[in-house]
Formats: sequence, structure tokens, C-alpha cells
Amino acid sequence: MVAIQVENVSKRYGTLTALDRVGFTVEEGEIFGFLGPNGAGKSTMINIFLDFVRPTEGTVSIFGHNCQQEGHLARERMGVLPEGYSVYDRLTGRQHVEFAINSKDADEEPMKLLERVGIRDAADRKAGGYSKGMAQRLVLAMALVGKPDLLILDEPTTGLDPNGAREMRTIITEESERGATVFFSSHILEQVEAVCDRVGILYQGELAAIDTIEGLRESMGGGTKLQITVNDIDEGVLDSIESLDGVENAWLSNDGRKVEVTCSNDAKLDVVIALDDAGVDVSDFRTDEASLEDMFAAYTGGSR
Amino acid sequence: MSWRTIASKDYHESKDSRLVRYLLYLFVAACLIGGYVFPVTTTGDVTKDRFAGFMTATITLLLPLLGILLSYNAIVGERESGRLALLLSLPHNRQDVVFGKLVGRGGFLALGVIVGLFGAGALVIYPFGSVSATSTVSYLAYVLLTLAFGAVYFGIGLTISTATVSKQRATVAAFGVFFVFVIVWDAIRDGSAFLLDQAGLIDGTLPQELPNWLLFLHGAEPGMLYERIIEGFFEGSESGPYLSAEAPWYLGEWVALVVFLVWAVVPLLVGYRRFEVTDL
Amino acid sequence: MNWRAIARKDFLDSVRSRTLWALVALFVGLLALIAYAGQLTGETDVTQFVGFTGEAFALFVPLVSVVLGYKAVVDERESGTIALALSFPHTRADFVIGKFVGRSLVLAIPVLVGMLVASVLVVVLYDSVPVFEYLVFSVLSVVLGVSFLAIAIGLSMLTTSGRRVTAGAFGAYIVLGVLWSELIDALVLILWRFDATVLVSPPEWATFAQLASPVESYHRLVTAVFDTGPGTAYTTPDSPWFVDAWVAALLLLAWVVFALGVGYLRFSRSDL
Repeated sequence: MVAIQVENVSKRYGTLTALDRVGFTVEEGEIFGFLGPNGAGKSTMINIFLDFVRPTEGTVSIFGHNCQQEGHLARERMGVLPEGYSVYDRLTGRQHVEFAINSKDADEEPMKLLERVGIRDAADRKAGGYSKGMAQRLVLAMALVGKPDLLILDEPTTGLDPNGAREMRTIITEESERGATVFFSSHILEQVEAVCDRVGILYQGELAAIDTIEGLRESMGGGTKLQITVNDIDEGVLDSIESLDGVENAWLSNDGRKVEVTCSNDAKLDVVIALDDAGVDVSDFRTDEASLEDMFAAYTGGSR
Repeated sequence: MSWRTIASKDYHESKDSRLVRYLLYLFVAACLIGGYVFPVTTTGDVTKDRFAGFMTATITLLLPLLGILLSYNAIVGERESGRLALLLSLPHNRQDVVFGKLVGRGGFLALGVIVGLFGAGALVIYPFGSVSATSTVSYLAYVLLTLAFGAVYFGIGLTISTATVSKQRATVAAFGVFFVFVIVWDAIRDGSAFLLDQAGLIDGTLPQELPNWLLFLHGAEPGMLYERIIEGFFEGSESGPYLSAEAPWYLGEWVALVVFLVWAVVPLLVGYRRFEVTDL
Repeated sequence: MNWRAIARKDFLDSVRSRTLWALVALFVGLLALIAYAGQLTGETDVTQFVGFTGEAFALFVPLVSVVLGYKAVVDERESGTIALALSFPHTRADFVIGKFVGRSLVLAIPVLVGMLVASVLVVVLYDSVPVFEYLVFSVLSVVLGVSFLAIAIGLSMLTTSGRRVTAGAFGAYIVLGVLWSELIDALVLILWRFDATVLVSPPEWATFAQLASPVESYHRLVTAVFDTGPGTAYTTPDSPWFVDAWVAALLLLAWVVFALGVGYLRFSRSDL
């Protein structure tokens, strides 16, 4: 059974294209990470799920309900942590959750939910006085009302401290174990990596890749990035490095002082040897995990 | 059906031109003010066909300007900037382009005339006048005539637009026509009378009267024709050098109508034909 | 039927913020004052009280409605709370109906409570009180408020700019609630090229246009119940049939449908 079906969706604002013919499906029970830098169009996509924004073309359906024509039916099975919301300043946390319970005709204990997201103590304080992180937890509690079959979380860890982010992950895992489908967007690779079954990468409004984390890493060549400080290098050497086994990409940094290489773990030494063979002086050497940015570079043809 | 695309594009383009838009507002406002003031300045039944004559001076000034402004740039501007080539590289043929422009820009002009004159008509009828079948038909005829008058200058502008190669020349030609026909035409008549008098060709006693053939030529300008048709058909006037009983038949309103229709049709056709055969 | 959750929240909001209590106090005070002052002239027929109240309500109730309604939607859009509310399974129609119903209650309760409290004074101070007519008058006053509430909420849905909604809502109050008759008179006068005699016996359409403002419709309906107040202008022998009371009732209803309808059309199609 398909939870989310996105078909050929575009959204244009005048000449600006926020989404360009995006299509993918999310199966029921999956944890799907929607990855992309800020401004890639992630929130636009989620706003289309919620019918806050109407697509210029294409259709989105959730559990078989078209989001534009039967949005409220789709939302009946959804719990949402939207982006760009704000809470009702004059209502307490508990009143917020009660509102959510009324809205979904659910029958739940508000305090239990607030406890689960860790703001039980603040339940009877006005939400206007909440910090960003507390507000985020509160809205998560509202999203959990009624045991939704699909959780849509837009940048859920915004405003949360590392501890909060970990709790968020726990909740996501618990919900998934309960049988819920989880769709969440983020611009931070680690979060997605930690919990997601599958990832879609959105870049400049286009779906650049869609795969499992392992699949992505594999196609990234193990996901290690080398930074080698050199004194003087000929551009031609980069080509010979790229031709090495296990090397994905090699390029010169902006100041021309460093060679940056993405490659598999095993190939690290080969790269340094190759540089030495080519007569290049290596003065410093560093390895990084491949950052999301490098991943995008790999998937979008290297925008640097 | 691709002329429709062009028509709607051109309609919106005209709407976006601030000068044209304000001129159109001015035209509509002038019509409405005319309709508003007319019942106060006149005595007797206000619905008796004199409103057309009341408006002639305003309309013969504003409508030519509006008509020419809307059309003189229609083709040449796009040709100069290369957009015409772009337009014709899309699946539009030349007929579509001209016809679309005609409908789009002409529609804008027609809209102004219709809104202005019907609004004015309503203000004339209500609350002091009355509506009858004959007055309605006659008013409709008046609106049609005025539309045709707009079409004359629109056609002239279109001819200029298809016949010139640069925007600058089109501008000069368009305003030249406007200047000669609308601004100085009356002075030309007095001037030629003066010259003929000096040359001893006509009798110098005042008021100087031109020979009939010259009167005909001078009276063949669209604005003069428009005025004469209104005087002859709508007001039933039988005075003046053109319409009095002594004037020869070819100065009368029927001939005026024929010449007027020629004006309304020929420039449009010429412009259209030229555009079809010319190199881009 | 999810508008109930929205209506409940909206209503409770006004309870929590004490708006409701302030309005109840205001209306009770106002009506008690009118009831007391109305009989000081020595005239103790109940139409005296109704006449004064009708005039006061005509100015006051629309103002309260506009204040209650004009921020209803635009505020949530500007602050972003709407993203929260609409991420639940409410349609946008539910959202609007909920707001409308919730705020109608916030308006109706003070008016009705005020009339109830005043009725005690009225029974004591005035001659016989016709219970049914008194009730109808109270309900009519609520309906007047509801029509302005619909107008304000309708405007609130039209744009995302709070400033424009504010200007529009208070403009609507001034035009429809305060200046309407003068504006129609001015229009007639302009059309008649400033021949002032026309105002003595205006054309029939002008009479109808006068009636079309919710305030005038309210006056007309009050006159149908108590035969007093400014609405008597419509009950002269030569009044056209289309200024009858049922037309006024239809007009009031039409305002609600029209204002909410137009606002909703726009709101339902826009991106948030």
C-alpha cells in the first residue's frame, strides 16, 4: 500500500521554479527522509501535502486521497509538524493538545502526550512563553494525537538541543514500530542517516536522487573525503587521481592550495601515493566524513 | 486558433502600457462627463439625438490619438526588437499575427468606446430622459459609427506600423498624421482659402468660400466626415457649406458615409496586405 | 463537522481573554442606562425603550462585530498559527465556519444577556411589556451583529495584509453603518444634477438601496415589530412593495452569504 504518491509535481511562482517535476512514492511503514539544503523546495513539497500551496502541475495523493481535492480526508490520517507555524500565544500547552484532540475526534489523555514529548511540567503555562524548542515539542505532541498512520515532520529538530534531537529520533522510531509511516525533511545528513529507511535528495527544486542510505553511500564511494594540502599542483594530476580505483571525484579547492577527493576508505593511501608519484609535495593531510554538501555535489554534477 | 493567443497577449500588453491606459481612462471620463453635463446645458427633451453632436469635438480629438497610439507600434516595435521573428518562429502564420493584433488591441479600443458611450448614454437617459425603440437604435448606430471612427485611425496606425522599418519613423509618421488631420486641418482650410484669394482664384469677400471640389477634398478627412455624418443623419441639419440645400450632392451626408467607410476599411486592408508580402 | 473544534476553541479564547465578560458588562451597563434614561421623559410606553435601544444598537453592535471579526483569519495567517490549525483534518470551510459560529456566540451572548437584565428594569419602569416582541427584537439585534461579523470575516479572508483588512473593515462599518443613507442621498443628488427637490420624493430604487445596508434592514425589521424608530420611513403609504419587512430579512441574510461566500472563494484558492 502506498502512503504518499507524488506525481510530476511542479510549483512555479512567476518565473521562479520551486519544484520541478518531482515524483516519488513512499510505502506504508517506511521512514522516509527528505533531504536538501535550505531553499531546495522541501517545505513547498510538504505545504502541497497539506494543501497550503497548490501545485502548478502534477498531483499528490496520500492514502489514495488527492491532497488538493480531499485534503481533509488525507489529513485525517496524518499527524503534522509543519514549518513556519506559530503557536497560540494565549493558550496553554494542554489547551493546544485538547484542541488537537477535538479536531481529530480522538480520545486521548493530553498529559500523557505532553509527558512523552517531555514538556509535562509546562503543560499549564501559556505557550506564548515557550522557547522555540518547547513549542516544537508541543506541536509534535499535537501531531501524535490520534495515532496517525502518517507522520509528516518538517525540519523537526529545529530549535532542539542535541538531547531533544535524540528524543525526537526515539519518538520517530517508536511511531514507526507502532506501524506508522514517517516522512521527515531535514537539511542535516546525520539525522536522516540515523533513522531513515530511504532518502530522497531535493536540490534546487529537482529530485536529485532517491535511494537507501547505504545505496547513497555506496555510490558515493564509501563517503570519505580527503583534504590534502599541497604546494603546487598541475590540473592534469587530478584526472589521474580520478582514474584510480575507488575514487569518486577529485577537485581543487577554491584557493587552489588543497586537493579535495571523495573516495572509498581503502583508496585513501592510493591517492597519497599517486600524488607523490606525480611529484606533488604533500604538506598536510586530513580525512572527513563526506558532508551532505559533497553528496549534493556528487548528485548535482559538482556545483563548485 | 492561434490568433487568439496573440490577441490576448496584445490585449494585456496594451493594458500594461501606462500612456494608453491613462488615455483610455481620459476618453471614458470625457464621455461620462459629457453625458453628465449634457442634460443641464440643453433645453427640451434631452433624448433627442443631439448628444452625438455635443460630443463630436471631444471625440474627434481623443479617439484618433487613442486609435493611432494603440496601433502604430503594433508591428514595427516587435519587428525592430526581433520579437516578431520569435513570434513567427512559433506556429503562428502572418495572418494570425495581424488578425490577433487587430482583435487584441482593437478590442481594447472598442472596450473604451463602448464603456464610455454606453455610460454616457445611461447618464443622458437617466433621470431626465426616456428610452424609446427609435432612440435606442439611433444610439446604437451612433456607437457603431464612433467605433468605425476609431477603426479609421487604428487602421492608419497599423498601416504605418507595417510600412515602416523603425520605431522612430513609425512614431514620426503616426504623430504626423495626427498633427495634420486633427490639429491643423481647420487651419489648412483657412490657409488655402487665403492663398486662393491672394492668387485671385476665388472671390475675396468674406466669408471666403472654397470652390466645391476643394471643399470636398478638405471634407474627406475622417474627422470632418464623422462630424458631417452626425450632423446629417442624427441631427438632420441642413445648413452650412456641405449640407445646405444649395450644396452639390457630392458634399452631402450619403457620400460622406461612403468615403468614411472607405477610410475605415482601406487602411486596415493595405496594412494587412503589406505585412503579408513584406520581408522581415 | 470539524468546524465545532474550531468554534469551540475560538469561543473559549474569548472566555480566556475575558473579551466575553467585558462585552457582557458593557451591554448590561448600556441597556440598563437606556432603560433608566428612557423613562425620564415621562413616556413609559415600551416603544420608547425599544426606540432608543434600536438607535444605540445600530451604531454600537456593528462596531463590536467588526472589532470581533476583522482579525479572525488574517491574524492567524500573519502569525502562522493557521498552519497549525489547518494541519489537522479541517477543511478551510470548517475553519471559516468555526470562526464565524464561535464569534457569533461571543456577540450573541452579551446582547441577549444585556437584554435579559434590562428586561427586569423594563418590567418595573415601563407599561406592559410584550414578551414575544421583546424577544424578537433581541434576536434581530443579534442578527444585525452577525451580518457585520460576516462582512468583517469575509474581508479578513480576502488578503494577507492586516492593514488592508483593518482599513476595509472599518471602512465597511463607516460606509454601511454610519454614512449609508447620506451616500445614497448624495448619489441621487448627483444624478439629478443637484436638484434638491428630488430628495423629498426619491426614486424607488433609491429607497431600496437605502434599505440594502444591514443597519437600515435592521431598522425596517424593528419597525415591523414595534412600529417605531427610523424604519418608519419605509412604512409610508406610498412605499414600494419591495421595502417590506421580509425583503429586509432576506437582505440581512444575503449579506451573510455574500460576504462569507466572496471571502471564502478567495481564501479557498490562495496559497497560505
